[in-house]
Amino acid sequence: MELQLGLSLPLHSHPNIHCKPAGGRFGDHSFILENELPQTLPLLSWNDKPKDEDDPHHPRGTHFCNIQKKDEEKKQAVGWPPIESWRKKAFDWHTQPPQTIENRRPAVADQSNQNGGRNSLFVKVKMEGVAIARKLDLKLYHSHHSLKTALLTMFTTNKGMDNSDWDFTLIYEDEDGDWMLAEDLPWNSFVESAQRLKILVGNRNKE
Amino acid sequence: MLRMASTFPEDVLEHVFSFIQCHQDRNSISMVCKSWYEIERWCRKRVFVGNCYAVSPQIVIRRFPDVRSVELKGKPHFADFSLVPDGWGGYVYPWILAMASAYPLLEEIRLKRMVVTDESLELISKSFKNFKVLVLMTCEGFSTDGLAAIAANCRHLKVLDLRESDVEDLNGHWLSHFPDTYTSLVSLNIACLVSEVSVSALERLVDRCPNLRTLRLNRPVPLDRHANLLRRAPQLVEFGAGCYTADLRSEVFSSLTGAFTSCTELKSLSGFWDVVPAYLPSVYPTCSQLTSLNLSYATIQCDDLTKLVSQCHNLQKLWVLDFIEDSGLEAVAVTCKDLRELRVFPSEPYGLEPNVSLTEQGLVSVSEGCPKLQSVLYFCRQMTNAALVTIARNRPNMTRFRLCILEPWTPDYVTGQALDVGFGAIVEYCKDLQRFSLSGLLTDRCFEYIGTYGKKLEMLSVAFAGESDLGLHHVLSGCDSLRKLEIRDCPFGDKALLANAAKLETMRSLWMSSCSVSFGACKLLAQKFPQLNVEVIDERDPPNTRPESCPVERLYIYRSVAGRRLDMPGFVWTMDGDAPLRLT
Repeated sequence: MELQLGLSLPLHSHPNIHCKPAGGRFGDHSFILENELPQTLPLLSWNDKPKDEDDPHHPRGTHFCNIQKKDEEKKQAVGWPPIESWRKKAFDWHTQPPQTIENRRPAVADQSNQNGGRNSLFVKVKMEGVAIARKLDLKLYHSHHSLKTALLTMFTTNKGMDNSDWDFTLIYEDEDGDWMLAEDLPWNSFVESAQRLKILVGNRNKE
Repeated sequence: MLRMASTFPEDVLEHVFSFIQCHQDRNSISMVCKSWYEIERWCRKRVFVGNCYAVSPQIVIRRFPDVRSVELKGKPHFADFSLVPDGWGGYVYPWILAMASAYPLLEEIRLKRMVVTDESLELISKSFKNFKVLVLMTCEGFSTDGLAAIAANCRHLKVLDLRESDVEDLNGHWLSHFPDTYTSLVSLNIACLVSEVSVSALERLVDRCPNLRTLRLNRPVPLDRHANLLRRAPQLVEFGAGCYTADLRSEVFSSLTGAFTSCTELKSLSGFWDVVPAYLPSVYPTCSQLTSLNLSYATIQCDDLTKLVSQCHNLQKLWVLDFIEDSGLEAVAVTCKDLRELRVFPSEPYGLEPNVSLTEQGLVSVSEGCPKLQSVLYFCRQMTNAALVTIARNRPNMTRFRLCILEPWTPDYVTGQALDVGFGAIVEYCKDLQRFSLSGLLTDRCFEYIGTYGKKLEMLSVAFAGESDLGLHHVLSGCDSLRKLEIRDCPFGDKALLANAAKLETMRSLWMSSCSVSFGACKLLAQKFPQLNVEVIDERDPPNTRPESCPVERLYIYRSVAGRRLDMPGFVWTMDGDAPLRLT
């Protein structure tokens, strides 16, 4: 079988071809490749302008399937980058910014909740000026004080920060998405409602 | 040769065959002649099935009546990245049910990407009296209740490995189901479980199993219990730490350091969730003896990581987050002269801006400094053709090369060119390349290189690449050893697929999602090749409600001697080879 392969524009560069009937394309049931495409051009040199400025995620998006197009507002393609689902879960990554409350708290807490009493309550903590967020289990702590001490150890060790120079304020995001002062709430209620934590840092010497 | 073979008594041949473990070699033996086929099938103890739908349990049992070890794989690899909808299939129960009566002496079951129910686990625990090894890799569908049945009933269990499985974690009590008389555990991996296990039950278990070599804890095991566990098992070879966070207390630190010092056999470390850097030096005493270090769940910053790996002179396998940065990889290149496998995972895969200084340079350094490096998985944000060419020239011994540039269609950031030449160099210089994953901006020319040079390529993963059918045609017509091909979001369609359809019968599977293959082509393929199962996976409407020229959402094609599967959910359609082709 001799293959005649045309160097041509990708078929789906023509958006109107998408769902058009093929017009007896397989009528002869043969597997011979034919030069059937309308234009035959040399390999396109689109190397120089690889990306469409307007839509960085679909620069050549015309070859996408229709389903994908419907979801165009989505920033990220499903399953890309190829991070295994267990890895995503361990880091509490979501392909989209968390918008719903169910998204915020990892499944850990939800599952054990059904069995009376959560065994662990992992929440994400960020500190101003520190790029890396951490996760910790609120169930391991019993007071605002022990939590704060642990957080400061976690974030300031090896960073050369002298704690006496700084004011640290712990705030939390509640179920409604509002950020509140952690210490305004009794410990138990705080544990129940905190979805994520943030440490605000202020310089004592500045004021 | 044939005459000589026929003069051997059967039991002599059987004895000779017993020394041949490799599946491919056993397969070759069975093809020599009818009598070898017969002898081989009666004495085959281990069976590997790369796709649980390629054959039925009944066919396997009929051919191999005395199997002791079974390894099965279920879902396509892209399931790891959530590209296969839940409920697609890959159920192990029919296999367990058939084997329960056929193989009462079965000792090992290893499953990957399969749906395992508690019912299956209970059946395993009660059916095989001498059951020893249960490895569930990336499996799902079962709970800790099923594990309790295994613990309670499998008196001879040596290995329980739940590697990356998604377990419904009802509670930690299952561990207490190992009876007090149970002493045979060699390897326990519970790292994927999310709920607390009873550490005292674990300590008692470790105490009474003198042969324990592998212990991988899960995240809720608190740091202050680690030293105690380690002291009870100084013979450990592989250890996975749990939560490595605690208030800084010098007695916790010193008892950990002491415990690690006493583990003189330790070769592998993993885990270290939520690690507090100040506690990291507790593992330093083990560093010089480590051959494997998996810190891909540990958020350790560059300086601490560098300090750690700089002491691991004997490392063969290193998995880390990109916090290691170029400078840390430079240290790896200087220190780890025995390194064979490197995986660098992204710490913020969905962030738009780089959060660490990890570039192509880190990989170039390792390729220069580590002469035995043969397996790479590397996530980064920028790459150049020059770097890839250097890596290829440095390491022609590479067999597995997976590069993921996070942003699709990223060109060489210096020249603005496609990365064809760079990836082409990898496949050209690395003659033994078996596994290859592409990313970045690639034209059909890259696939021409792959088809021309990738003669030993067995698995190829492609995403957001290529320009036309020609790309796919080069791969299917050129890569002689190709077994698995997975493609997403590429403009590959009917022509290349149909022109190379016969190739699919020599492969284990082909996955194509968000490509340009039409429903009509799928039907035609199934008609022409009845040995192929052509599955269209579409969560929208039935594909036959659209014109046949419309591209299908997802396509999974595999060869099978078992015919079409019967456990398909509503969103999977297997093309019926007998149906007349309806052209629209």
